[in-house]
Amino acid sequence: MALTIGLRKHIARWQRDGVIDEIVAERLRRDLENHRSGFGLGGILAVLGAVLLGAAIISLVAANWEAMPRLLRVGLIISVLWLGYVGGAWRQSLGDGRFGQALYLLAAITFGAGIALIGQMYHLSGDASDAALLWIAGTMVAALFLRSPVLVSASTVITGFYLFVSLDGSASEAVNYLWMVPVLLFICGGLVWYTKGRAARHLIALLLITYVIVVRIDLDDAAILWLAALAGGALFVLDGVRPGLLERLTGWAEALGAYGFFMLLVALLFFQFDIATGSITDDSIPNQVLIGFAILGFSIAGLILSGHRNLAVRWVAYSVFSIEVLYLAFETIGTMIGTASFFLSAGVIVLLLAAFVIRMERRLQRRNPKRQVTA
Amino acid sequence: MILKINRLLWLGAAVALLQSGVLYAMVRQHASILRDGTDITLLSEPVDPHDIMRGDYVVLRYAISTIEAGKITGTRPAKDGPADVYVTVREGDAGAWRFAGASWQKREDVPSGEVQLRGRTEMFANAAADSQLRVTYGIERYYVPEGEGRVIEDQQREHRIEAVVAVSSEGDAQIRALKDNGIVLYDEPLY
Repeated sequence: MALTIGLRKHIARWQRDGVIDEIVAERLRRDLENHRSGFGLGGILAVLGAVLLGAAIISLVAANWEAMPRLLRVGLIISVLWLGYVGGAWRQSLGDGRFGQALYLLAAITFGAGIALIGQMYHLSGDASDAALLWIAGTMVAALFLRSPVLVSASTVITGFYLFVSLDGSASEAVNYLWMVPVLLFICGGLVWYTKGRAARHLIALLLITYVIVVRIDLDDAAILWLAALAGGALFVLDGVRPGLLERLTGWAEALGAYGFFMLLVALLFFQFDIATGSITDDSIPNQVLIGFAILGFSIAGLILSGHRNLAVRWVAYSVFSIEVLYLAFETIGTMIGTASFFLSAGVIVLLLAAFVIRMERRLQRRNPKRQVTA
Repeated sequence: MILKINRLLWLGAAVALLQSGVLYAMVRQHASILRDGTDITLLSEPVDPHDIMRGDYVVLRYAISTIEAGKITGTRPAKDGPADVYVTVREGDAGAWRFAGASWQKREDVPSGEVQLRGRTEMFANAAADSQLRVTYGIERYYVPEGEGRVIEDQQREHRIEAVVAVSSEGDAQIRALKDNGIVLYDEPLY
């Protein structure tokens, strides 16, 4: 949306400066209008409203309020469920997709509240992750039947909730999440394809990265980090080298490349963290600096490979690079002269690289001017 | 257009029916334990946390919540990890039911006067005979209206609270009532 507003300003300026004529400007505006994502501010507010109403219902259940008899509470839940799904389908069939989606979301949250209410009524203990799984299954079926993009996002968020309660629970429940979360996210991915729910893709990617971090901390095993770093690196390189191929395969090449790149760097940061806490070797400082240089190197390599084209990769690289430089500075502060020489050499290297990158970009631009659109 | 409206509405109704059906089946399943189960009374020692979705609850612990590994008969599970354990209880003094025996496999020959509960535990192959296993039965929480948990806890601290538990023929347990010295604190309706 912000992009659209920005583009409108540019179009007005181009028209004023005579870069484009009246007809082209009008055509561009109409094209923007047609390609506007159907959601907009109204849709976002509708979804937020539904989330708030859902939170109200969940809190009402959790309060276990005696003034309202149990059966009335069950009745309330069931009626909101029907109102949400049937009412949502009605709005949807009238072409009011935004309210339809919001009503579906309200119903899906209410289903979870209903499961919690029954758990409360019969004092069921220790089944929080099973309850979350039931909630996910119900929401996924609803997303499939109603072809609802918002419900796919909801399924992904509830999967995150499931991961959270699995960690909280006893050991017997916790182990299942290791294979359960990837399977659920895979199904969510299928639903994204089926419902064209683009927003859910970001949630899936973020939850997958969270999952890797959680597994690493929970099991204290670095294997998953290697796996994630390899997979992330592969996605990143594929986007960097053959963006056309990845785009044809997934239709989401830029973001996949950026998330892959982020995963790779997060894994490296974790290896550095392992050394810092002494769980790998005891002579920590030199190895840390080595990994630190590797992280800085990867950041710059990422910039060179696809930073000129992929805005998201560029931001990941800038952020990780800055954080890493600060970290190294603080880590090696014990020897000021060492820090000074580190910054000196790093500064010289980065300046040389800057000269290299600027030349590269100029050359790339000359060879392929179309690619500069997103840069 | 009419056809499309109908199809979407039917799908919406189908999802609503499915999810209401799931909720109804859960209610039925748990109500049937309360209706048809055998009642036993266990002494509890309480503890007071809060659950995001289900609200305040009191944690209940029972004497049968820890069992010595050596007291469990039958074939040990081959793998480490979560395992079912069947615990039988017998009525003792003052109406409180106490541990009678435990088995890794479900016992079909439960003596009359004893009730079998199905519990879950975390088993390790190298557990010594005297190591204490934590066993849960799904009756370790009692959800209370907001803010009332403290009252039960204070009572629990002074003396023990009795939990009347309904047990189905499969061994699934569910809390029916909480009592304090024979006086009913909470009694659960079927629905």
